Amino acid sequence: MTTATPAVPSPGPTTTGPGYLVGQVWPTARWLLRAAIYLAVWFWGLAVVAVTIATVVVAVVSEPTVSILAFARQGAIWFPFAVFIAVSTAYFSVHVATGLTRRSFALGAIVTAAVTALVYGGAFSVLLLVERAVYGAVGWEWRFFDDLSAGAGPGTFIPASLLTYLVAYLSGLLVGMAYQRGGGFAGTVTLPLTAGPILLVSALFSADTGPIATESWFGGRGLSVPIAVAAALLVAAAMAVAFDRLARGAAVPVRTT
Amino acid sequence: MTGFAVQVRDLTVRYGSTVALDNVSFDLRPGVITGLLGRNGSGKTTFLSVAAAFRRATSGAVLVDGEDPWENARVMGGTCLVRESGDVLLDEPITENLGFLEQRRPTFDRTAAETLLEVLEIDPSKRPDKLSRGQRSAFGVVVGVATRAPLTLLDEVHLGMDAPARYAFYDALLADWIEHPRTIVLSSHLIGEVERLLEDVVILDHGQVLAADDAATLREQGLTVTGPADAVDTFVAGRRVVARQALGRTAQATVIGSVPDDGARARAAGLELGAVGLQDLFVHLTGHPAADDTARADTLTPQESR
Amino acid sequence: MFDGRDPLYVQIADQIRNDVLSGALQAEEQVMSTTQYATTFRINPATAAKAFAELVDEGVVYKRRGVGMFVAPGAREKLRAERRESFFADVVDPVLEQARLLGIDVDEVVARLRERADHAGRAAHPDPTPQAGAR
Repeated sequence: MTTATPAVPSPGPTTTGPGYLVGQVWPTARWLLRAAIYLAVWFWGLAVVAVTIATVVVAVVSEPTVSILAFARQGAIWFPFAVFIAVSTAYFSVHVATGLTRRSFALGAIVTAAVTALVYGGAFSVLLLVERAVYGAVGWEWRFFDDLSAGAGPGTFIPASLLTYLVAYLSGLLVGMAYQRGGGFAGTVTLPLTAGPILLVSALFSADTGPIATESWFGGRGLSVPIAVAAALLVAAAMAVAFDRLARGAAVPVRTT
Repeated sequence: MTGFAVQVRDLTVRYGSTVALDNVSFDLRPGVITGLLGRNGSGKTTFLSVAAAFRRATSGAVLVDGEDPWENARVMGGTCLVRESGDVLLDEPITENLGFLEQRRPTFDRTAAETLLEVLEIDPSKRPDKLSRGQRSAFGVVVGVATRAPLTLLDEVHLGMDAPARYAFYDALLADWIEHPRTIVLSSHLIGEVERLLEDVVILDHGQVLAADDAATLREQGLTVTGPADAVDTFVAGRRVVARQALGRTAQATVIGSVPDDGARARAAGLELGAVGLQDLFVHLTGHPAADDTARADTLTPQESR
Repeated sequence: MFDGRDPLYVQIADQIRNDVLSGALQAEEQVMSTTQYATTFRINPATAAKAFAELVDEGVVYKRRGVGMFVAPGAREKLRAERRESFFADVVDPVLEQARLLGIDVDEVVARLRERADHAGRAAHPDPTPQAGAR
């Protein structure tokens, strides 16, 4: 009687402790990140191409005065958001069916969301700074401007983007799991709770423009960045916990093929 | 490691107001191929889902290798439930799926998987969502067999597969199980086809256990009595008759519940005894009692009806 | 191969008994193992094991530990003796019943049996015919 030895040595399933994390959580995060980073490369590659073309067009017509790349921010929020919904729905069933626990799924997914946020945030920040340098070299004025952060500097838009992404990706996980557990109606009705925080966190970093002007909330002074960061991290933590709780009790749905 | 034992104790599972399993209890012997039979909606899939920690029980318990499978990394890692087309990465080629499984299932045998894919004529470069229904089922079968989990649960995995593919599957399953013993639960409607693979049988009906025994003992419960109509009726009087056919003066009755001296009594009465196949037995056991009464009424001989 | 409605283990046991009776399986000859039965006929080895258990109880086969199942010495004679009993009840008596139904006299049946037996006997042991130059 022989036992098959897998080509890639994997630690056997243990129930607790660091062995568990290495055995179950890390392969999960690695697998999900593989897909997420592959998509990220595509996304930013396309973004660079699109922005370059747009910049050239604008330069021909007039002269760029604001960052064009800044408009990629919305895409960087909602595209991975959708991907993370799929993680909670399609991937969840495969994870449990392959004999892994919901705990490792939740932890792995949260880690993936955080790392992906760093990747998108990092890529965004680097490309923005490159764009600023290019504008500077050509002699154009460069400002970071989008619907919520008029004229913000790197000290604002970098943490703002990072944390908005983090909250958005966690939101994707949470929305997907809400639909998974509650069905279509419950999933939709709870969207203000599960997806609302994205707008909330975006607003936390906004100065005085957009639908939510938080300046007036604090007696006329804009929310300082460190406080906004702390608040955003709290929101992110709350969402991670909510997602974890929902995932721990989720049933693998009946097949409908 | 010969396979996980499974103990079911007072298991109840409700979906809203529907009771899928109603206080059921039975055991699955470790290392044995058990057939899980039941009509649609009998609770088979629900039971398998609970055993594989796909869902929780409403009350009662399923113990796999002595433990509750829910969020139990060791037990879940040793349990493989394949449902119809399987829960695999649909948008990744099969080769990627095999690599994915290899890293997560300690007992997974990649060579066995690749061999079986060839036998079942599935192209490993294809994505599961690009396969036909039967091919997807076949891939599910490959996952179930090659994972070699100590508790392997196969839920109607044959759907969509043609007869040659099904028989290749049965052969591969049996051969692999002989070499690597484990506990296998096979749920199928094609009872006649899988009967020869089974050692034990559990029959569920309307969320309750109708029978749980080894296949040979269960089959012995049924017998057919053939001969002159009067003699047959005398012989089966007071017993559980589930079917009766008459042609002229000859009748054949199917009875559930055999007694040791049936053979001698039948010979004395000039009657012939026969066996009942597992599929027929299943149909009779899960049929509606009312149908049996009408069956008797419908087969009046010409003499009696005059 | 095993298509009858009888349980598989009954069919396997019957097949082994028939082989012993016909001489296809000699005394002390090894019977196929449960695994061989399983892989040859695509059945669960437990089924073959059950057939063997029954045959061991009857004394038709016995187990040599670590080696396998062997036909017991005297199994053929034992089976013959058992079948003798049922031969008359299950085979001969129905013949008489049939003959009666068809209005055939018993003597006709006996004469026929005798004639066929002689014929078979001659075929097994042909009359010696004189050969040129022999002895």
